Amino acid sequence: MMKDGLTKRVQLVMNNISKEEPKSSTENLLSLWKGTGENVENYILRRGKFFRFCMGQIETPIYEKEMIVGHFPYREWNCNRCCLPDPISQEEKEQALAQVDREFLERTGLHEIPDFRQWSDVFYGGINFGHIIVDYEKVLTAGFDGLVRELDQRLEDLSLEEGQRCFLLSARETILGGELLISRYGEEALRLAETEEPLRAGELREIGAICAKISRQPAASFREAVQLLWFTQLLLEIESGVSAFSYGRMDQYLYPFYQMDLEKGLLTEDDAQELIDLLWLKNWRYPSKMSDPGRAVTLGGMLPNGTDGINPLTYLMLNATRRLKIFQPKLNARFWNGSPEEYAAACIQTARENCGPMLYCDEVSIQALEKYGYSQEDARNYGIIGCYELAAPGKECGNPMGGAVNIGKCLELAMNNGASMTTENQLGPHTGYLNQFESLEQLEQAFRKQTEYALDILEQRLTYDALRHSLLIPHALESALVEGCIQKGKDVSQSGANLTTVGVRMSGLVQTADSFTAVKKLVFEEKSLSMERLWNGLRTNFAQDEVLRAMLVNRAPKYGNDCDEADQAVRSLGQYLCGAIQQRRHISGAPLRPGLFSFLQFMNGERCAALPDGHREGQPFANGVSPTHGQDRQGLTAMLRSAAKLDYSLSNDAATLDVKLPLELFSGENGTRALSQILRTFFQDGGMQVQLYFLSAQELREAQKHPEEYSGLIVRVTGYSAYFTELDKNLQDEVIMRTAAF
Amino acid sequence: MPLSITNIQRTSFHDGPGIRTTVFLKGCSLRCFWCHNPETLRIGCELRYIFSRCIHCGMCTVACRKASGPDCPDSPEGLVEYAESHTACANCLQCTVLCPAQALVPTSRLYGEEELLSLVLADRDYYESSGGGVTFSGGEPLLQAEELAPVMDLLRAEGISIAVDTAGNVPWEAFQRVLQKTDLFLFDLKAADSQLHRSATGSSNELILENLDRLCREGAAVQIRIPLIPGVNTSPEEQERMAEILAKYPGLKGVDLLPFHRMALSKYQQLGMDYRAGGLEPPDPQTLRQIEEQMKEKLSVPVSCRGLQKS
Repeated sequence: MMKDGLTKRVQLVMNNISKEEPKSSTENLLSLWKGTGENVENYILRRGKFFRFCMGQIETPIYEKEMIVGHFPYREWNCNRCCLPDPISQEEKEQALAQVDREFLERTGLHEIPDFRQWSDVFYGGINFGHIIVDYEKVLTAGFDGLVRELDQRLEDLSLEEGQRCFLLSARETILGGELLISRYGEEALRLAETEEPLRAGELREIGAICAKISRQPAASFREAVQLLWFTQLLLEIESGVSAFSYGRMDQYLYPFYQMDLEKGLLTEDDAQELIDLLWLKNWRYPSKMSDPGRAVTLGGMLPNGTDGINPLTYLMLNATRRLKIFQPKLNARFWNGSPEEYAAACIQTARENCGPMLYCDEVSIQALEKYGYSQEDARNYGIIGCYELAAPGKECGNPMGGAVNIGKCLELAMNNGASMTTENQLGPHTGYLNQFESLEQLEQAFRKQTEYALDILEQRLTYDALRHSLLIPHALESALVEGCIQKGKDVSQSGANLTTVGVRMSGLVQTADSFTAVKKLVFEEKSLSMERLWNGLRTNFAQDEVLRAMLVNRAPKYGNDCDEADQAVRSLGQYLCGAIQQRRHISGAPLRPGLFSFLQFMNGERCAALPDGHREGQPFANGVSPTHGQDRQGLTAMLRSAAKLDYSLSNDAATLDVKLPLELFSGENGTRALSQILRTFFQDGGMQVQLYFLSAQELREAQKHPEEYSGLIVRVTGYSAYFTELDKNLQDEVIMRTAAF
Repeated sequence: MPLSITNIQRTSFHDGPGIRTTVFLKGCSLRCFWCHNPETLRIGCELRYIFSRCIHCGMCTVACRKASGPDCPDSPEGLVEYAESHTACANCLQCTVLCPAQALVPTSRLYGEEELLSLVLADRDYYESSGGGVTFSGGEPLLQAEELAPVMDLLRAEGISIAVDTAGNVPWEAFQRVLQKTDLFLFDLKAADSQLHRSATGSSNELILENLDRLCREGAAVQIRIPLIPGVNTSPEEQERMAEILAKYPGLKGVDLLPFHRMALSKYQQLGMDYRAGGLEPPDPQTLRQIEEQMKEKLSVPVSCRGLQKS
């Protein structure tokens, strides 16, 4: 096992992070550039030139004791958009938007642009910036000069159209801008060295030499690779915003450098650990307003050749997160039949700090990707974007977070003749009212009509967005690092990548399926409930009929308890939804990619009226394929067996299961072993992803306050068990104290 | 013949090796005053009122054959009183059928072989990966040994490992029925001194010790479990006596020391039963360490105290 201590340098760098809040602004860069008199007709090329200009202007701060340098100290360092001003005129912008509208109407055959905002409770559509894994390996092994050479070679092609030429030139300018910034960091280091004490001066001179070298050349050592990797990340985020630029299989592409240095005796394991710690801390810096910059790292898993990819770096990376206790970069650990036990144990030990990693089953994920159309090699080489989305590194622009459907809302519309039950706004076709339905099939049909309608409009929304991107938001550096763009002479936003599409996730899947199960069971099988009573209860959010809600919650089976009836309902609903989503297309022609997952702000339960599973108006839904809060009452294995019954071969974007575990139950070596066995079995049974979440004493206090959401939480002592929320307050306090002691 | 069961608990880690499903059988021949599963004590089914689930709808009063409908109180205190009057009820359990919130539940129900088997086989993949299996606990599972034996045969045919968690206070014949079918006995030892045993559990320990002796002589795999109850068996003298008994059996798989806890209080309240261990404090870590050391010194088999091992 690696040692636990952090070096003094790492501790110091960590302590200094909070002092580095951005102060300056990039506002004046545009007027400075205009002052140079340079102007370019083509907007894409102009962006490239302006980017290069900015890289010669922006500050290059180097902080105390840093070995890995590079930081963006500007207030505009923000989520989801370029932090430099846009060198576009108002007139150009208006022209481009008019063109977007024309092309949209032409493509869809509509007469006017729909006001998509009215459906904001039903779906979300908005292609994000970033959310991609570029080919970092290419930068490390070719260097920025290598990229320039590739572009120059491509530019020799005389058959290139003007647009293609401008894109390639823009990419070239952007990369030269990158070279400029890195070399300026080198100069800054040398300048600082002149006034520093001898020890630090030596370090700064080393930084200066490294920056000078890697500003153009490939990385030749582990440290150079780490530094060049971070600069590449920084440049991508300056170009497009801090928005889920994910690292892909970092333990794989950094390994040759590590191995080489180790063999040559230039590096020890401890040196490498310190460098990774420092790289991790670079990633731990992000705009303070952001909840999650989505800098995902993928570890372990099967290699394209079918062997296992674990190496010593995998462990150093897990070790970094476990010791630093930080959740950026975000770790994702791939598992397959060939993953060693030691790896599983290291992942669980890290997960106990609640800093990840999220866990993935290779066999299931690879199968889903292949089914969508990925080659075996690409599928086996998948990496994770942002939160939990699958992608082929360097080969696609999959926009995995571009779309979302509120499935619960579709059910609401199906019960209320296409209108919202809370606002009565007509949001879908007229499909009748719940109390008019005489069979479950009628309700299901109405639901499908509402869903198909919502997906049709979502497809239009995504089309509109993709067109807008292609005309207004180029990303030249990002594009140069994605397969296909240089060859096609097209930006990623113009479908330059070999695969360009959008992922569509869903919220309320489980609640909707459980609703169907409850109606089937109570109304049509047991006949203990009339449609009329159900309809009245739902419309009033159970205000007059808590008995009804209790019946819906307790007297109908719920997903998450290994009950086939409820689980099959979720499975078949998931299959239908994935199929329906995949029938819709991106403007590139590629099918949209369905995901059985939701995402925090789009969980959408809060925008949904009462549902027949007992969901109250405004309550959040559970995440992805997790059971409704508190409804999994048969223990962990039962919940996992329910989740393993779903069909993940269609959900190639992602499928998330949150598992909350009392820390006490899984502490120590025995706890690690038990959990590792449980996870392996879950994956062998067909589970796809799982996020472990260890409940601390503090969360148990939350459970005390909100018992309904935690009613499945089991407390165990040898031979004894009870639901936490049903314990007397004093006993709950005792459990909390025991947990706090671990 | 069906079995009377209070709970089937999946994902158990502490009742034998690996990941297990623990089946709690109803009825016990001891009355240990600290019992943490009071719902398993009596043979017959009782009413359990889980107050935290109650939505105060009054459906129970409609169902009740004793109380008249309209006097359902709507204050929490009134409901507790009402529910307590139910525990002295005709035990018709009609209210549990109607209660929409599952606040009123029966303590047990009967499971046929087929249903029980399908439930405990559900996690077989997890047993296989972890070396786990099924544990029959209680209550005293061997009170239902006759009904249990055929279920065990079916489980064995499926290749499932079986553990029996017993207090040992049953005729040897009951052990004989399951002896060949059981992979591991979790055998409770509560006190060595018979008088002490009687005052703490309501029964002397001769039969228990005799059964333990026979089990060991038969070569059964036996893991001892000692609940550490302050004022009963945590004194060095009593520990010494228990160690003396156990030292006779070098073939034991090990000894688990299980410190007393008060988690059962809520169950007693829900059952309207008097919790006689309410005033007892759980033993402090120092005492636990002393006892563990003392046992380790005397015994050649592995000894571990729950709650002491940390990562």
